[in-house]
Amino acid sequence: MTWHHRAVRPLGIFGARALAAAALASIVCGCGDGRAPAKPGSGAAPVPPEAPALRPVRLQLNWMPEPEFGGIYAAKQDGLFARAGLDVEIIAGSAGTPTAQMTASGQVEFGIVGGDQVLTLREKGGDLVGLFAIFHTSPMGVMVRADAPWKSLQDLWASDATVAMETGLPFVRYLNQKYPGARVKLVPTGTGLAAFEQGIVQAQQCFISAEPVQMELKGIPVRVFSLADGGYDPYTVTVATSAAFLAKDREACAAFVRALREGWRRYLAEPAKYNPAIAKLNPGMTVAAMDVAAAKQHDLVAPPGTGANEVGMMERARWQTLARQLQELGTIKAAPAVIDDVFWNAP
Amino acid sequence: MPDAITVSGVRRAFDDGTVALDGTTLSVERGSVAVLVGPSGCGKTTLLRILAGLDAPDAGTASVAPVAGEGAARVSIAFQEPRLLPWRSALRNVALPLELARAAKADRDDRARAMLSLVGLGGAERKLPGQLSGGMRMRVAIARALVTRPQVLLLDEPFGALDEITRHQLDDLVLRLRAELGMTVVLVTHAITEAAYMGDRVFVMAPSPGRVVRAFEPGFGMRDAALRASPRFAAVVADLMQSLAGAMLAVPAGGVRA
Amino acid sequence: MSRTAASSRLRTALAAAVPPCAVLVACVCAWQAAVWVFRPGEYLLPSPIQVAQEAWDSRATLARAAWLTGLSAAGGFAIAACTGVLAGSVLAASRFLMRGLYPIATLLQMVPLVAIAPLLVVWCGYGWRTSVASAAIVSVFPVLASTLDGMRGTDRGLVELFGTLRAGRVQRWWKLELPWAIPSIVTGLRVAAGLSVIGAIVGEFVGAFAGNASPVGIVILSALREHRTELVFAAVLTAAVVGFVLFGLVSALGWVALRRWHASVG
Repeated sequence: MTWHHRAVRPLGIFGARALAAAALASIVCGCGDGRAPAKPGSGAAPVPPEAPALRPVRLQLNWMPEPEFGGIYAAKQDGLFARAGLDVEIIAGSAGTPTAQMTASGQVEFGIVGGDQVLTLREKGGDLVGLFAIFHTSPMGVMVRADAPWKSLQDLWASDATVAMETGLPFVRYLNQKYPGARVKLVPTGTGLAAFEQGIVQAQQCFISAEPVQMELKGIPVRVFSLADGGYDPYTVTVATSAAFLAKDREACAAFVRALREGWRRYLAEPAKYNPAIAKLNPGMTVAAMDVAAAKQHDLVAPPGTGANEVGMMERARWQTLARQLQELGTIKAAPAVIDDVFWNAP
Repeated sequence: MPDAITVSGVRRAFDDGTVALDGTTLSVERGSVAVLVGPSGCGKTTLLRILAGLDAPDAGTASVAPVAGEGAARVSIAFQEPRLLPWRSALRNVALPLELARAAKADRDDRARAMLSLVGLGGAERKLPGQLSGGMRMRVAIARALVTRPQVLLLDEPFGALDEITRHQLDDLVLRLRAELGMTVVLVTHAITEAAYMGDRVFVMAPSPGRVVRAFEPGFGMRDAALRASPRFAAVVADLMQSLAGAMLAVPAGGVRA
Repeated sequence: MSRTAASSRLRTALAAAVPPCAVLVACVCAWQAAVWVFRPGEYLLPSPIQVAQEAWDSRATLARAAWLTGLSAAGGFAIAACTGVLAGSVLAASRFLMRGLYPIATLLQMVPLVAIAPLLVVWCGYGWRTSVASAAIVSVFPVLASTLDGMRGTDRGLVELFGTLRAGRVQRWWKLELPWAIPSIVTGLRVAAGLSVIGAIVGEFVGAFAGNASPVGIVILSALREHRTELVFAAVLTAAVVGFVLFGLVSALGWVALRRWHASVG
């Protein structure tokens, strides 16, 4: 399943997650395979009247509309997809949306998946290909209260604290291997932030740019341990497609990625221009919170020195590292024979 | 012998307007068998239920006199059906009234066992109701009614659903128990031969409204199979039948002939 | 029981087991054939052989999970059984309470457990308490309803008998209404037994500790996240086995309790 790497809603989103098996079943049966094309002109972008008919494609998110998808919405808002000949329908998701399976089976053309999921699904015959890594540096982290006694992930892992982490996340295996004899008590993230706020869990998996912002706005100061700093740095939010779609329509994929890259360039430069529209789609997060989140995520998406044409670009070595790490953790049995099959940087 | 039961001017009307009993008066001598006989709707069951405390008269009085020195009068009732708890053995069904009265377990088992053997079911203590015949179930029900040693035993058409041979056996059983235990028995029946056979005193009742139209003493001493076959029994039955036929036609005071 | 009676009963039981087994085997074969023919991809639908292989490979994990989830389900079931019978008895005792509370109890049944499961964690904390509470919540209603139904159907004649015997209210409940309702209660308990496993797993989805010894809910979540669809299936089968065992235990207990009833009714 394409679990988001944090699964944090204020409360109760877990239902969607638990029902993912049902979603899986619907893919198997093809029940969810509504092949109706996306409605043209549903976006905000004005389409020149003389333009040729746009090609409808779908992009399945694995979370609610939030700044982590800011560049996607910017591309849509500014008509960049339309200019590339695409009418992109952006479908919001939740913690339970099986985006990896949906994308691999062709139910949607594009989907947001975790980098590790590209590899795990490929091993099970779902040929996903990463096209665009939204975050250059993984935004995943573990947050604790500002006054918590732990100074590092190692401290935390040696304590008997209760930590809410997405169950089955490779990173948990990674930390357990790195800090053996852990006493920490791991629990699922299904309660959202409530358990953290109540102090029932002392540490909570998060996106550095999202949940800590929400906590700060609620007056709960927190500290965050970055997982990337801890040595595990996958392409956490990857736009992927199926190998079949890429082979069939490489040009559409390239046009899509180029529009996406330009969208991200614009969003990074001026997030405030796009956040109000995103906030309209997600009543759970205010524009102010989105502005803060956008600022916090800027350097994770594009570290200083990243060229305008480098946003979203993936490095072969990073995929190799991830494959090796997952293999060592036992999450996959073998690294892909050809690592270049796993991702494709559009020219 | 003093009267065990005194019923005086009892009236009972139901919500639907039916007058089940009106101006009903009778008395039953202690230790005797009184039979209420009549067609359906004559109020005989209503009268029994009033005596059992399951119903109350709208007017008049119905009282059961306690035996001197024994506190409040003890009245037991056995219904048309045995009404046994299907999950309880015969013994535990018989012991139920003692159990509900919080008697000690050993004591109530002894008494229940004794009563079961008295009704001829000495070997059936552990049997469940479902394993007993209809007649045996009714014997259990009678044992249960008698286990508290009531001063008055009320029987509401108890043997109506049984075959005739079984019914005769149970009639004899009731008479024998009455002889051995000395309680007063009030039997409601619509069977004329049963009324004639059982009653020290027979009250013939008529419907609309229910009332006693004739009190009658067959005057048999010993009852046995020979009596049932005798001409004097046949004569009493014929007499009763005539009374009953008359009762059906009788017009109550102030009533209108239909 | 004589030997022939025993063997004939065994033969009857075996004969009764043939149709469901045949259907099961046919379904598994169809499943395997479908996977061979349509090749949906292991990530969408593993074959029964793959599932069986995975179940065997992960047998230690699954056995521990079954044990943990079974304990939670059994605990929740026990709580639901007691609560359901008591609450059903109270409602059956009073027309007023029944009119007032039964609709609310019915509404409670409609509340989606998945929505309140996160709250259970906040109330009960992480660990077995949440899965036990969750199991109890889903299984209490069938017990309550069946108790209420059974008691309200108490034979009027027997109620009247207890009246003439001057039984107290508690005596009437304990010695008449409760035993009378047992066949109905047993039916409710059997439904509850199956539900309790589902409830326990839903509780585990949000509130269980994920460690070396994880319950079924955690095994499912992990397997889903790691795209080990065959392990998901194996874990779901494990849950079904746990449910079946609980159902069987309750049915057996019910059979013992009802023997007297059957003997007398039948």
